[in-house]
Amino acid sequence: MTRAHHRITRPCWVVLLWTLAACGQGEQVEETPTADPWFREEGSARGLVFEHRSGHGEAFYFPELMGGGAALFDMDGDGDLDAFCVQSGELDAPEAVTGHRLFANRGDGHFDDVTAASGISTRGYGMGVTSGDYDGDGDTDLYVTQVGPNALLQNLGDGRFTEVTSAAGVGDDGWGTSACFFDKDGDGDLDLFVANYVNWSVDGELTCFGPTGQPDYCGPTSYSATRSDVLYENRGDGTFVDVSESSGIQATFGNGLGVVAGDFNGDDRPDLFVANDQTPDQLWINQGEGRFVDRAELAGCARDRNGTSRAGMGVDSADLDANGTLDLLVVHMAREHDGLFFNKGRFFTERTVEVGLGLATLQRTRFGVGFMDFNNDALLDAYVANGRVNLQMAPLVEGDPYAEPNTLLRGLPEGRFEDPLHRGGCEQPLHATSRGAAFGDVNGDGGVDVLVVNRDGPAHLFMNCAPARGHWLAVRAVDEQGRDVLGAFVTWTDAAGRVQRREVKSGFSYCSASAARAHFGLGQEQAGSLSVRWPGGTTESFAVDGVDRVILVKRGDGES
Amino acid sequence: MRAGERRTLAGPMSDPTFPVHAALVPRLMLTCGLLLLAGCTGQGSPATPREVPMPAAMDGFDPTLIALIDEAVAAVNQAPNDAHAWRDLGQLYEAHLMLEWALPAYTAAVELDASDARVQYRLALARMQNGDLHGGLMSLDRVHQLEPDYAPAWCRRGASLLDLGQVADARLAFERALSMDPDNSACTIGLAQVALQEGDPERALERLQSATLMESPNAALAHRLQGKALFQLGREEQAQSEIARGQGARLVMNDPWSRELKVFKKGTSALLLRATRLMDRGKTAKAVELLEELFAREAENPKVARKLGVAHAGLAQWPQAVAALSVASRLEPGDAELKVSLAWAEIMAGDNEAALSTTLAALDQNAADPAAHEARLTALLKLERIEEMIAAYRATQDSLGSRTAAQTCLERVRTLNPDHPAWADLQERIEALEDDAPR
Repeated sequence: MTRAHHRITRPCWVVLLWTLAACGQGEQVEETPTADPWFREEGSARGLVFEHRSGHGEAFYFPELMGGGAALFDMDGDGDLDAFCVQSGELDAPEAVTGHRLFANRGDGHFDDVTAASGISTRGYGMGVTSGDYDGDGDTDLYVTQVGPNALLQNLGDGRFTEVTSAAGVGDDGWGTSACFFDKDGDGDLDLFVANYVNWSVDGELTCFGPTGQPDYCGPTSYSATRSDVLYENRGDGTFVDVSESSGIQATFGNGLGVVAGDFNGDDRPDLFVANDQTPDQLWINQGEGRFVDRAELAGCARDRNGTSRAGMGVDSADLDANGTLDLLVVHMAREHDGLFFNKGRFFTERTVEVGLGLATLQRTRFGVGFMDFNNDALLDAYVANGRVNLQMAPLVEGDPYAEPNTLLRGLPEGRFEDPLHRGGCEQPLHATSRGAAFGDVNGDGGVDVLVVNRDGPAHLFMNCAPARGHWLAVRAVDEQGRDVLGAFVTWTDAAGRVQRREVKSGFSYCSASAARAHFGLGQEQAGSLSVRWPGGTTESFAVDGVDRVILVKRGDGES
Repeated sequence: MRAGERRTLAGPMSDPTFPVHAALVPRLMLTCGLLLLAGCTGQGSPATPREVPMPAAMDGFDPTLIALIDEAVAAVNQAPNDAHAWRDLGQLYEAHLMLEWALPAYTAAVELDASDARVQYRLALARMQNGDLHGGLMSLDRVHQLEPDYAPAWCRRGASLLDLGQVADARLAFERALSMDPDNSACTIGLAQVALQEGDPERALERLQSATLMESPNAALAHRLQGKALFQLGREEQAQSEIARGQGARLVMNDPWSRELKVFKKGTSALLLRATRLMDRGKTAKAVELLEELFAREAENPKVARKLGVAHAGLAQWPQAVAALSVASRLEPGDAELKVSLAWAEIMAGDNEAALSTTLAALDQNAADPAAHEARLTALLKLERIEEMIAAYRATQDSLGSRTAAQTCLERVRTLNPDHPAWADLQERIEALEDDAPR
């Protein structure tokens, strides 16, 4: 079937007033010539050359639509962020493909492909990745989700990785999507949660049609085959035990695509939020003693106001309204508002459209997402990686009917947002079918950059060039053994008394892992105080000798 | 006032309950000016001919839909100043979720005839679905002017204003809708949502507990929202119970004007969608009627056959379900899930031998499907082949990789056949089997 479509020419009301009156017709790509771009795409120029392959042929195999992901993490402990891109491959012969790529950062944001030297040769149809030091040896390991058995790649610390999936006991064979490491029981080692999407096989693939009768990819509900997510408990010796059943997380499940860990009820225990595609989302509240209970329906973050389960894809959490609690953003498909849930302590209130997040993205299908302060003005912005999942809307470009530009939303005071450029922060909109997005400052200039993996296209490395960026501070929070403490809640209070809180986390967005650092934009302020609330509830203050740098705070070294 | 009658613009604009957002006023005035202009010129004749919206490529579209689009486009080309032709084209597109093409068609229709409240309404909803809430609200303003007593339009206005965080204005809109239609459950729910957004769960509960709502199609949603309100009030046990009663809840808007759209849903996929919705609403017999008609036209379409089989099953018409699902399964030989559906229909139709054969084929394709194992165990139980059933139970354990999963399957089989005479003996033997098995 040919997929070449041409965008129609819509009525063009040349008189400005008429344009105003007729607003809302189709695509509104307004150009703002005076606005400076916030990002420049420099992937290949910086040596990060990765071409994702979905393996799409004649058939519409559902997984072709959903991969892949990326990680930005410090592979070798040299302080800069290295990159890992997840390849999908061939669904008819997944074991034939070894396409994941590892890129080492030279220290200046330029990369070398070190896959061959790393020994990474994982086979399978890849979806996503998460990162964390599961074995507590001080270097960051990778967990790759796939359609079929997932893979744990142990970082040997010398640039090499070895696959230890079977030995570690984490080879769930479902269709894994997003995953995250977190310390569920406060024992100092990282446990692992894996979201599963749909029980799917090549043999069981269905034939689906769009509303116009066109053959198209099926949606997840076509299969009526949700699969439970998986929770692995770290035994502390490099192996895991599957506690999915005993922990309670199999009590409810849906078509899982996104996950983020965080303390959503303020009891100093990490909880989990799982974004599900067209099934209710889950908020797994950690009860202690290894038990989790889903409170999403009660807390009001399982569905939209009218009871509809939306197409949950990527997810992030942040304290947007500076009330000390983690708010949630779940992104959805075109013609469904995102879900921005403000945390009121015991429950959530959705205010997506009201704060400016709903309408700017409504025509896009959103996957990777992150709240970051890209222009360092002390306000969190939002970046969303977009790409369609069906042929329902008119193609925007030739050649890829699923391609869309990404979205950048500038943070405003009081947790509000606006779309500053209407082109994903770039000078010209880049159209691609974007999926995973990972966030981190790859060239150490204080601006958070974005690595986006695009279906059947080159990965994009969006280097931050936001105009008039403010001062900044990035905090790496480690324990007594020097291991990153995922779940640490870092608070920066500037001289004017303004408070910003960031959680140290790597697993959020969609199928991706980001730098496990708390990044603060400081605006023009350079003085302030820093405190860290460690998982378990202890809080320490740390002296800050200067800004515009990455600082390391170690548990036990601060003032209680 | 009926649709089609012309009104002055003064009415709602001077009404204190008419919630016009300040930022919209200049655009609203501009739009009103344009609409007046269009209205003054009657059927209107723009300076430049309008381009007829049409997908550049329709590869793979349902042939019926292509024919309908061609016909509607031809009607517009034949009478480019006929607002009804543009409206029909817009509705055809909207009925098939082709909003990008529906929007310019509706826009042309309202420019040619600003007095048609229904097309203004369609334009409003299409704009809102496309992310243009402000534009949608402006179109709703015009609907309110033309048909001030159409309650669903006020209800939609309330929902959009609530989305925008204009809570007080949203309340006014919902109250106005209820003043016209006090039994409108969707608007009552809207008012409850306003109360929840304002942090007043007590007031939300009052709204939701009204007897009218409890008997409406929105009763389940009312229960769910009561659960939310109760949880916010710290009454967790009651909240849990209400949430449980709200399973499957979705807002149902009683909107006669939107129901008219189904006339335009004539493509196969749209008809399938309509059949699904009929079944969701419990109108399965109507769905069967629709699907039989479709099946007569497209006997080799696996989706139609499958849906027809499921619909017959919904009416316990098992032989018919078997016939339709057999066709679907023949057309989709790789679909193991379909085979399982067929096997269950065969069991219910009393053809357990056929069901056994079907489940075997399904398990060949997907041995890890618990539903296939359940069907196989059920068929064997009904045939009283106890030895084979025990062997099948062992196979279930192996295939699902877990004794718990196999036990769950068996438990479901028992739930479906609690009084089968072979059950007691079978249960005893399976328990003995479990006791002997290594843990």
